[in-house]
Amino acid sequence: MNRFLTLPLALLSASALAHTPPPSTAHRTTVDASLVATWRSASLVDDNAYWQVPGTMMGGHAWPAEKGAQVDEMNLGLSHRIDDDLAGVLKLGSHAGGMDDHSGVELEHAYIVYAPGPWQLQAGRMSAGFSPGLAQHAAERLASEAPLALDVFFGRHFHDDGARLAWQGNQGVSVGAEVWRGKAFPATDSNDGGAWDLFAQYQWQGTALTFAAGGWFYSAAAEARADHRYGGGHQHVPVAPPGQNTAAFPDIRYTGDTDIAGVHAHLGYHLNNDWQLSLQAEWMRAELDGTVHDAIGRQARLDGSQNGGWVQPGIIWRTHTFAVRAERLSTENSLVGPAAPQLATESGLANPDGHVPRRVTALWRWQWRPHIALRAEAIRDESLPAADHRFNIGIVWQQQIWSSTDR
Amino acid sequence: MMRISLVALAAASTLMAGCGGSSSSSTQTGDRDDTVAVAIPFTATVGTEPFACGQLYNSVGTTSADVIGQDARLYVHNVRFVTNDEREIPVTLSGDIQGAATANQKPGEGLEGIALLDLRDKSEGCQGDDANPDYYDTVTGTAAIRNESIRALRFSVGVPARYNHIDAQGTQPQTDSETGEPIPGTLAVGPLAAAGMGAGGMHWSWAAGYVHARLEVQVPTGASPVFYIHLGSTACSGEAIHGERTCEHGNQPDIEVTGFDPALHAVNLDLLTLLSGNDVTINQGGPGGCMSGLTDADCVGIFERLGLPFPDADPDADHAPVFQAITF
Amino acid sequence: MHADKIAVLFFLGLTLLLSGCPDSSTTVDDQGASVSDFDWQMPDWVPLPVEPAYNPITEEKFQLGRHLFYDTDLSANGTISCASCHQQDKAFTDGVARPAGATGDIHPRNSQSLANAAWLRTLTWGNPTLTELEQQIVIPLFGIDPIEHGISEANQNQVLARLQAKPAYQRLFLSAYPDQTEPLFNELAWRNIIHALASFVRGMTSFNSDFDRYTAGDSQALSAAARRGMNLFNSERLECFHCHEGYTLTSSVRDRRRVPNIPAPFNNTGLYNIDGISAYPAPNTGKHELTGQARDMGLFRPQSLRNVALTAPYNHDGSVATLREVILNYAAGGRHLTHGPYAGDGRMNANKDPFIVSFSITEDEISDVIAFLESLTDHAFITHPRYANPWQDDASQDPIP
Repeated sequence: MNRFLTLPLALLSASALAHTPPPSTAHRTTVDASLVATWRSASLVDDNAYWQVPGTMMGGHAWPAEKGAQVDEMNLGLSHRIDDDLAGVLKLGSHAGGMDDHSGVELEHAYIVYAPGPWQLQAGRMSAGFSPGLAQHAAERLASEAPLALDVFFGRHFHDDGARLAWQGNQGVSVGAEVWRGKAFPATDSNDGGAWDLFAQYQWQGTALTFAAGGWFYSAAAEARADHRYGGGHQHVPVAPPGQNTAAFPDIRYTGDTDIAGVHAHLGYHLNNDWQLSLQAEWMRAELDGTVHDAIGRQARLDGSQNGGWVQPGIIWRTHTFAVRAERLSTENSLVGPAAPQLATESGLANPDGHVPRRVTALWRWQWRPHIALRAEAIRDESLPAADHRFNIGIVWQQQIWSSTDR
Repeated sequence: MMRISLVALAAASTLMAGCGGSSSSSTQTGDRDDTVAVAIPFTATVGTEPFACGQLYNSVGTTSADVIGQDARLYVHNVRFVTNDEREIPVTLSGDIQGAATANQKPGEGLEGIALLDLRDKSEGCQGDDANPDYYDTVTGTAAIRNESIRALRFSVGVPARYNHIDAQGTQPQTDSETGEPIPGTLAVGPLAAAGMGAGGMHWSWAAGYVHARLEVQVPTGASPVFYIHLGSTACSGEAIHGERTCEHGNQPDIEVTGFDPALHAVNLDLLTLLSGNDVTINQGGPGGCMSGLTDADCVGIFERLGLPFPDADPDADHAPVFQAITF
Repeated sequence: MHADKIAVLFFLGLTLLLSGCPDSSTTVDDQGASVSDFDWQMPDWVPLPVEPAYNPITEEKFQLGRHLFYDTDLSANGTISCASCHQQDKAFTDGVARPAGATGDIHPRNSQSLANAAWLRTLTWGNPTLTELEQQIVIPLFGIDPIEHGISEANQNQVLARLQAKPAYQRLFLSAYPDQTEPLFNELAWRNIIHALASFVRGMTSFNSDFDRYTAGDSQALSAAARRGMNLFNSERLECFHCHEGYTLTSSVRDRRRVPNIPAPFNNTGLYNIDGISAYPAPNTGKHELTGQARDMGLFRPQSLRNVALTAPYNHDGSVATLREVILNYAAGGRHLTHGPYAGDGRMNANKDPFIVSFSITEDEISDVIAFLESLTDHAFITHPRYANPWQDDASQDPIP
């Protein structure tokens, strides 16, 4: 019974399937809040410019880092235990995002969980459980910025309507499958759109060493998918202030399949009461097979293989964490069709200089108070051909702000 | 006279085909014993007078107007005999010696066998000195009718829908819009092809279709100098070059000529009957006469007599048949 | 514990992936869409037009077509040529509402500009069927409703004989059709004529206006009035740009970069509403003439606005005299004809395009929009010797390079 109650909490922590121990007190209803605010020293792209990593088709909510102070995200979550093995979860979230009208509050989670024995059935609007990296929010990550691979392959945030069936064995093995309506990038929720995935994870805990590793496969179908960051609906010529120029965003669409396979691992080592070592990594490979097209009848066949991932070694001393996240992305695309050169350029798939996007983040995170953490980051960002450097200083607040005791 | 000799030849072959016993092996082209060569002559008249280019005819239409013959051509396809016990026996239209299409006939049976019949007699002379060089008025082929009792002939006027929207200049086949692959059989051949102007006046370029029948009389006292009857498919949509064009009104009437004896008869098209419901001296909209346009009231009487639907027309109205069997 | 080893191996593998992963590359193959031997006389950024495989354009066919285009012998009675209704100084229109054919038939529709005809999705005012110049050219030459050039099977041999008698054509036909021994005399002669005319029209390109210079970066190429007019043209108030868009300034466009089966646009702009039942005067019922569908009544293809200042009068039947009147019709959300046989309130036409909504506009703003439309004139195109009558002094300028 108590084991079940960890599930809503888990969604606010490292992974949708995280296996944190159950709380000592059984609460019937809990309210959780989190807030991440960050000041950045530089913007990745100029005002009125678009962030487009060469060789990729981006979308979703993958906004570029912006100079100045910004609320990266806010979350307010409510979970309510209906019965011993049944609960409901609601979560409101808001994310920072480039253009003015894209950062409203959204109902990110609204689902029912049914968890008899080792099984867990969850349905509604929820985050993906297959990739621990994808399930993490800015409050849970060490770094304030989402991994490049997730920005490119999944449009940063993944919230969709769907269902999950998972099984957790006693030996640290868990497996599951999810089906999605397709509202989350890189799928579409049209007739022939949608997505599904499978995942498996193994977890082991010794006296000093903890180890978790897993693999997943995700398959999405899209129909006329737009880059909703800048395009999609009714297109207008963007208006720049006097003396500045801006170009209309080319509304290039993708129809076809995106199959992504990933592996991940987390290794922790307790040196003593003060010191811990940590190594975390996730790697994924996307296969794109479809058609790139636009509203004026141009088409090109796309065959793409893209790899991305990161390795994040860290060292923890009491409440301080020092870590480096090294990321790399490689893309191999082939476009064939009469409009292939133009569509490649306008979609972002073109990569004339064979650019290999990379990013290195060095960070320090200090859990200043039980619910407040501070962090500082130095980033060398080579997601675009011109390398960019920036420094971030941020604050993270994460707390259960209300709970009712059981019965 | 060229024409008489042709008709005589046709008649002779018809006679042989219809009456021949088991002796005539030369007319036996199929591998079945009952397949014989057939030749079905077509003629055109205005009442009882043979249609001829430049010939004056009196008392045509509701106002008994004088008209002068100008054109009488039609495509036919799906030619078949009907037996006394109501079975249909198809006529397989013949090609040249290699079995390829001739200028006037695309070989085959049913919707594949298409003949262009030219019923003008240029001996009297219309404008132009050689407007009808390839005078042709007989459907030739084979049919398994040796031991059958034939009660009627059936055929459809016009070019069947499958071929109606191909490139009449014969420069390219239709192509699949998805794959770009050519659609087999859609390169115009024989009577469906003509360099330059496309099927020599029998193509309705504006509507990307053929003129199923082209019947014209000059009307010296008419509001329009020529009363045209151009039968073509209307209310069409879809891309012709991709074989996607379909028409709400095919206007390819299916005709039954009753009492038809292949040994004795030709098929006669009587323009007097066809025009009997029209005042040919007026023009009730569109071009002079009837070019099949749905708003052209001059088409009402003509479509009724061909048994074709038309706004405000009654296709089931009882009219004398336009096509009849006649002896010759 | 063996889990240690698994973990070590796992991270070794990941590290290898990180360091050894492939470099990035994107290859593109446009399947030859940007390759042409023909001198199109246009900037690189314009995509090449579609050509039928059976009639690839060559300079020789273009020049033969040019001679045929300007030859009055290519009509039944030797009175008209293509150039009679398509005059270069008027961007290949004729300045009259509805022109007359060789035998005096009045065409029901207004002569269209031929500039950039190769890029049009469909070729005439309201016919959704005609997509190839080779198909279309048959109609003015041989059509009988209306009679334009008046050529028929009765006189086509005489017309051909007149061409065959001209010395200039001997060489022109042979150069244009080098695979044929007697291209002016064989059974393909008429097809050769049509293919050459189609090649000439296909080669008429006009992308050299002040507006083109402005979009290429010369900010001084447009006057202040034309720039104001351009902004009005592209505004959500006037909505002009929805139908008159892109490099041809019409949404009826196709080129080699686009799939062949893109939709062919036709719109009702509320010009007529006879008897209040949304009717247009026959035979100018637009797309409806071919489809017979009530919903297609009054639907016409959006015109390219290139050179539009030279192509008055306007609309499919030439019933609107000036650009100012065209703009006023749109400002009113359609045309209200209060008297005459075609009286009716076009603003209430049931088929009217949703973008044809009324808007307020001042006289100054109308002048600005007209200044913009005038900036679309390609003065080089209307004077270029390449498109001019080659018969005027055939001796001095050799049309065959």
